[in-house]
Amino acid sequence: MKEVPLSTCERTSIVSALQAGLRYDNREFLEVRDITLTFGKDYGCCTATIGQTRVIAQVTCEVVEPRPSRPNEGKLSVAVHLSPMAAPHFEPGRGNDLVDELQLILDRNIKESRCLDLESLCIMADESVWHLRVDVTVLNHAGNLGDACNIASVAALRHFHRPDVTVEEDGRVTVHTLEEREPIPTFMKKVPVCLTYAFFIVDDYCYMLMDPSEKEERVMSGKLIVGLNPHGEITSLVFPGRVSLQKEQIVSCIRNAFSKAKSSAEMVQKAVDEDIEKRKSLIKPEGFINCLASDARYARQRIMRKIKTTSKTEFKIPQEPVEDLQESMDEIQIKFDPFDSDEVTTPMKVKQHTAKKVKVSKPREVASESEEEEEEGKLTSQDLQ
Amino acid sequence: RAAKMGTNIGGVEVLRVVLPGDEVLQLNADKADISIGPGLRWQENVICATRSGLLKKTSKNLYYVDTHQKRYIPNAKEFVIGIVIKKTGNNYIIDIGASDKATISELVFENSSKKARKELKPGDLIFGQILVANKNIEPELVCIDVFNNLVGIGSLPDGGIMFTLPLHIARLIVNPKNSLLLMIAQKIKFMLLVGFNGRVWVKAQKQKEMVTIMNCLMMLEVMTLEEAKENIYRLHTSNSKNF
Repeated sequence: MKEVPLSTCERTSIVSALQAGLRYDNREFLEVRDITLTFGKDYGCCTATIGQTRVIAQVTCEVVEPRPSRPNEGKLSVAVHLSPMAAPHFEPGRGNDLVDELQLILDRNIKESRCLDLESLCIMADESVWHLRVDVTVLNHAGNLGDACNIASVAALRHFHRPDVTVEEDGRVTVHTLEEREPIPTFMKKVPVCLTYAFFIVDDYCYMLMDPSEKEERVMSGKLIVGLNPHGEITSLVFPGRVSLQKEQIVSCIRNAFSKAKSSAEMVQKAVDEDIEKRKSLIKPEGFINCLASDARYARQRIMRKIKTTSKTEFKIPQEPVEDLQESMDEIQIKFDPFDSDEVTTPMKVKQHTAKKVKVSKPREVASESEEEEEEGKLTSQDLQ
Repeated sequence: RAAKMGTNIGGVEVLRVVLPGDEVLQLNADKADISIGPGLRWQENVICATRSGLLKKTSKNLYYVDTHQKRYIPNAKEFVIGIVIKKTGNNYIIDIGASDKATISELVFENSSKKARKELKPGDLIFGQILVANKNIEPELVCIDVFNNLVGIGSLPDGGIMFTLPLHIARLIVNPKNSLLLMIAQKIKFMLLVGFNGRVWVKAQKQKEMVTIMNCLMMLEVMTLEEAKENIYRLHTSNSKNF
């Protein structure tokens, strides 16, 4: 299926909202959506959600021969799959730009940053090593897939326990099952974190947003994906799109990313440690049952939380009961659009809503009446503030 | 957020939950005239449901099944908001959110004749009525009636926000006397266009107001009408603080 085309109206409305300082879901410009991590029944299976974007990562392992150039080190490979479940325009099997970009981010952040100690994966030098394979599948695409894939794969790797191994004297390797012997955790030195910044260039101004949603991603001019770890090392910088930035702007992005990286890495560590402790205390792992909340439930929780935290003042309920308003609506003649009164066009049958106390009047008085209504409207909203 | 069984809201009675294949009514010869609406099918003197949802009955003995659906299936005589994709020959190809793209001739707009045709660019929005929709052919849109009366309003003015709602919410909002819309109108002056394909276009004077209205309407997806009414005032104040 082809992607639904983006209308010019949506494009300009997102940009105008940004110029007024607003995002569609009422976030701050540098606010990230809620991140949750859930672990499956097996070791190494993790689902990460950023808002409504959902990604699942699974780590598997097998014993292979090492690379001749690196006989002491294990292998690590990461693969990203975009399933058609994620978005209607994803097609299975066909590689597109998005897959290449995600693969690039994960390769750089996880493999090349050497966050995982590969020498601990060695069983017998030159002969057998562990090959860890991370498969990341995107389940729902609601913007910012790079961050979600990264968090899911890092958490899955940290959560993963590999089976124990004994080496006989004659060189035979026995792999024990998980019941025979306790599996061994992976050793992750640094926790790589990935943060995405979106840029919108409008009339010589450059707006910087963090964690773009799906609509914002389609409209943005370019983005900067910063991969780093809380120790202060930058693991990757990917800068696709049609934006050119000054050096100071990139440096300020990176500085902002540093301040957020620590909390993100701590959250991952905490979630993984909590789950592992639960398993050690022999609580049976529930798997993904609890994370099967529907999008509607997530949206509702978010709205309720936002409403409770922001509004502490008493709000004024309008004195006019709603039934009176309905009666007065019947008397209203539907006039044409008051917003552009310059055009003299034939009246359009448009469902138009105006504030209270609109009388049937001649067209000449339209302008003055609308001013009155505006003032009335301003009064009430100021009272509420 | 289900309506209670047997309640009567505005002349529409909610009967019960049905699943596809359920027998709804037995037709007898002496029964009064009954009309069946979407979601029901008449086969061999038995009326069966073809969709899952609430079985509702209006005061004029019209039975139908109200379903929660996001994907639009085009039906004739419904008003939709479409996005222009491209122009081929004398027609425009338009996306209405269904499985097929719709076509509209450039002559079926207001004030357009063979000498003065309507010019539309890819990405423009159109509000029109579906003339014909069949599973075998592409749907066709018109903005003007057979009698040359204005049916849709053609291309939408600039500005405004467009977003998508599930179909059952769009059907709630199409009624201009909907109590939630009236409550919003007490605070904000706005212009609203609702398409049966779930697309809604809103225009107000300030960006903030448009985003507030969009969020209020999207709240209807996850709450009942009553809860949404309680919460829109809080939403409006929380937005006003960001001035």
